Amino acid sequence: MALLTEDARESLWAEFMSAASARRESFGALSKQELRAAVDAMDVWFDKAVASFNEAFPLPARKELSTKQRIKLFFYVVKKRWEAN
Amino acid sequence: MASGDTLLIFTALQNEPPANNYATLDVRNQHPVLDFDAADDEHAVFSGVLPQHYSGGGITVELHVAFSSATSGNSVWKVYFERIGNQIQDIDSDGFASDREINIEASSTCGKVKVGSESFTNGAQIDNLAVGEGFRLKVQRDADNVDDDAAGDAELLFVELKET
Repeated sequence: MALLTEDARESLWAEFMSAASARRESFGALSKQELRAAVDAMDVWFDKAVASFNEAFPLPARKELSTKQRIKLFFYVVKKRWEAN
Repeated sequence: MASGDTLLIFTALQNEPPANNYATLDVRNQHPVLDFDAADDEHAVFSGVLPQHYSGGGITVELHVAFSSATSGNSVWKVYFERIGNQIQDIDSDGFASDREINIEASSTCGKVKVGSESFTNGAQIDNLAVGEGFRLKVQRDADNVDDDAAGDAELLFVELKET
């Protein structure tokens, strides 16, 4: 999986701010440029973590699930952990 | 007309949204507001007629702005006049004069409204608008300006035009 394009990062950043605004959720003193830097950093971190991410899957799942399916599973796990906290 | 006297007031409900990149109508505790995105430059447009009691002293534009979530940071706004007049502007196209900029910082209390203003001199800055002539005022949040660093939406509640 490649890094997100500049447009994709910008769109993600805008969507995240827009959704937070709709909930009137504060980011404290964080500026929007600092939030954008966090978006970039998360994308880079995920890109670097792809190898260990794949290795974390048990062999049967690693062999049978597509990259998109593995990432979706990861997304579901993160979502459930986010809801629990 | 004395300096500082009100010429016109526009509220969020008077917006005539442009076809693209328009500020979104929203309510905050039932107050109508126009949401301006933090990442994209969005616009609102208001129409009026310059009152007969304007005496040529220039126009000061005041923007009343709150922020959906930011309690720090700055927002940058651009304001433009377009003279429609009597056989002046072909309304099949736009003819806004150059912008002037207004900076408004977020209140440390999220729901409190801050007011920022900028003076436009009589003449080219107001697109040579004259008494009794129709005009439009365009308000834009310059979200991609490096000095606009307030995260999240800015909410425009009112616009006041005063004689400078």
